[in-house]
Amino acid sequence: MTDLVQNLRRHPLSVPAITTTFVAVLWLAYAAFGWAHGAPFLDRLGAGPKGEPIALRVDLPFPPEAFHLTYFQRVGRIARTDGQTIYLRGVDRRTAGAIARQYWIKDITLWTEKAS
Amino acid sequence: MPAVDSRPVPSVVRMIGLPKLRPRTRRQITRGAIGCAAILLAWQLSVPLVDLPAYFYPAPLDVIDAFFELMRKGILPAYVADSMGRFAAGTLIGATLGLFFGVLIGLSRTASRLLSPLISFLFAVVEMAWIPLFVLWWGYGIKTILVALTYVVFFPVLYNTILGVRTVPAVLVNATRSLGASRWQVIWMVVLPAAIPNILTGLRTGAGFAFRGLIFAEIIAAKSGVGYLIFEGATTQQTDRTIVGMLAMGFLWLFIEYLYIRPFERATVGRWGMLTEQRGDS
Repeated sequence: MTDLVQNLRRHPLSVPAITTTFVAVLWLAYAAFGWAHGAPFLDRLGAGPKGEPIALRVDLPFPPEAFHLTYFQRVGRIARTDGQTIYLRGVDRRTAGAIARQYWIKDITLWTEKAS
Repeated sequence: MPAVDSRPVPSVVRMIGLPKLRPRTRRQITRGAIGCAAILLAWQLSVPLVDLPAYFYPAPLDVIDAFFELMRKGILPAYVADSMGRFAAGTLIGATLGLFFGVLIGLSRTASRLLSPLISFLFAVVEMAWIPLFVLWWGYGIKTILVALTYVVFFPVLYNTILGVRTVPAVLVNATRSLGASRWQVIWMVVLPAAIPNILTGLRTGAGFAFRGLIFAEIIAAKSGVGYLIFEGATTQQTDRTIVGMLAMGFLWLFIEYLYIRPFERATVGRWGMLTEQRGDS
């Protein structure tokens, strides 16, 4: 067993193999962190009918930049922005999960236009 | 009294199988780190002396701040992931096409006569000239960038593969044929292995060109990626962000070269005695 490990370590392709494994582990850790980060927001959003678009109020811990606006334009329609808050319409529920998993999101709540 | 295991506890490095650094490599890394630290210190000290606006001549600390800000806002990880995905896909497609056409042209006189003029013509038209047309056809985004990167990688791989295939010693091919090998067996067992050093040279050159081409393509045809970050930083006078983008590109290439390309070369052509490592270059 030790010989096998030694031989694998000495193999010239051990470095790319270890690097790839390391990057994969890092990516999995990042994904797991995203799930953990997004879970409370998704719990609060609750379950609803699939396929029905929802409106969201997304709070960021900083004023949004072009990168963030481009991202939100891809996942829904930006109704307006107010300081560090973005109001989105037409967001799919599954997409809401993807938004919640972004580590730079501070909070997500359902938004009803009349209430704001 | 229970027996105590007196064997030394294996270090984490040993347990996960990382290769131990040789003293010479360790010395080289230390010297490199000292050199970098000296440059950074001189840069930081020069900022108050030259007294220029931060957008014109940012200090290293501004660059570090910009790096953490880009990380905090999720911009840098997303852009790096976008750029690396495009680079990997473009290199893979370009290398596959270059290898296929290289073997075809290298082996077939008819294919060579048919395709060589067209390929020579296209080789002269650099990818930068094509990009406006690609944008017109495929719009801003991934398709245009992929086509541009494929185009960049294709030619070095193609020409090196042709060279490799054509310089396979005839005696090897004849000997294999005389033993009853079919045409495909000759290609698979003689021509391709003999051409691998040239193919790898083409891949290495193509990957390097693709990395440079990526920046240019992202500046023109993308709304994300490290190239876009560099360009956007310059146009919005956030020079510190531009420098973060440049550093990211440099480190990403170092990452690819030292952790993938060089080990792969050592595993193939280096092992077969076809690669000479330069002194002081490890």
